Amino acid sequence: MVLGKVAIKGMGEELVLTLGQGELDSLLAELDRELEDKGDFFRGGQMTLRTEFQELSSEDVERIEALLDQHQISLKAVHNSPSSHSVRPQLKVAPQAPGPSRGLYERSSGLLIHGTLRSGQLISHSGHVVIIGDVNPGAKVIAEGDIVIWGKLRGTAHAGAEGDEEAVICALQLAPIQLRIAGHIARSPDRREETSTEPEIARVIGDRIVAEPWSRSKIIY
Amino acid sequence: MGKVITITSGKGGVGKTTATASLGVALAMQGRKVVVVDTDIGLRNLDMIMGLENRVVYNLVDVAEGSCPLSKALVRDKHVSGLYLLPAAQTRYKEDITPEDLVRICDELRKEFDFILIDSPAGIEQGFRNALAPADEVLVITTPEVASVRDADRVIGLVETADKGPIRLLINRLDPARVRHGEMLGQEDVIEVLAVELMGIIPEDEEVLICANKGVSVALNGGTPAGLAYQNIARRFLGESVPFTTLGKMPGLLERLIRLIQFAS
Repeated sequence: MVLGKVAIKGMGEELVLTLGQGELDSLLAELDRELEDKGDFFRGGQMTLRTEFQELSSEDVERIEALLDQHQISLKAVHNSPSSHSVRPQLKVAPQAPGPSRGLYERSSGLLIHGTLRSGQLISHSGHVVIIGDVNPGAKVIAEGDIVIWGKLRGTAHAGAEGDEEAVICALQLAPIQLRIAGHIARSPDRREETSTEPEIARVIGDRIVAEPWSRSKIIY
Repeated sequence: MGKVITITSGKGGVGKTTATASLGVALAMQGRKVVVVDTDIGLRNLDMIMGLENRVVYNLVDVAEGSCPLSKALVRDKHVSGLYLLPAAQTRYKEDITPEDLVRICDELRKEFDFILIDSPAGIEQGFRNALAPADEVLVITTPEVASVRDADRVIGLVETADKGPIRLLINRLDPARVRHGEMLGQEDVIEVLAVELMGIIPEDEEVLICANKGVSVALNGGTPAGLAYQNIARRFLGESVPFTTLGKMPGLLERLIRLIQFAS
């Protein structure tokens, strides 16, 4: 069913909501009418949001999520424009069910970012953050949960920002300016040693942040 | 329709103005019609470097405010035909023009010229935003120094966020001998961080300064290393595939390894 700029389609198992170009307010109004119209057809379902033509800020996503919530539909994931180079949330996965509780952010979502974070760019998120790309010097990532970087971490990362001592930071290459986990701070050595080229994971052991190669890490998940 | 290339760096003093003038000269020498636009209002330099200071009558702000027609503000270069300068105002401020003004002026210039090169001021404030607004392409300049690379990275992030591009890189003042001795970042180190397409490398060359002070562009002389590098970049902008000249002898992987072992032992 395609109605103007808002479309809801079944694709295999999942429901895909596509938003066209336009003002978010009018798109939301149209979506609201559409869902009102269909009554409880979608109720209790999960939707994936696709926006091919426009960039959404995290507030935009929250507004869409809130509207779907009113109609008792949960937002499973967001796919933003695939051609975009800018650093925006591209996939947001809400937990299916609260997993083993780590307390503070169990209800919040993960944030997946494609692309390099450059100097001056800041990502701050209330859940876990996954970055596929590098974090350059001068860039900063703050997460209430864990931080996973599929690339080089050369900037600053703060995991467990609201006090979770069990949060971890891992990267394919861990060469940060500064690492923070909960209230602990570790800075890079003043004399640049050759940084490890293998993936490493950092976490709090005792009252210090310790980084060790992933292959030798004793963390079992 | 002409192409607008904004030349920017974030950090000051890395050679934006010299590069703009030199690239303008090199493109004009290839027979293209080129205009270089100085958007560094209040800190006007491009006219001096090109040796055209005494010919400036009207400027960019006059054009933006409509107090003179665009054609009257353009200064013809005295060395190369087909090259023109649109000078900045010296007694005004960056805030005196808007991004929209510059877009409008560049749209007019596009009809006349093949290339419109915009010399951006240092920084990431209004002046930079003015210079970025009309860009079809962005040429980011960095020297092989950590502060310069960091600022270039910041600027690239801002350009990406503004959805401008393609973004390409020019590494200025690379000294192969110092790279070899590990005293300077090498081109690989710079590209590894910035991860954008390399357009050219300008070797450290004292001729650049000598020429700038004389108001003659180094690009006029293909016999100098820097002049040749600028001519090569111009040809790359015209779509030719020009191999990167090896700057002296760059150490290979094996040499680097040997050095590392020597250093360690």
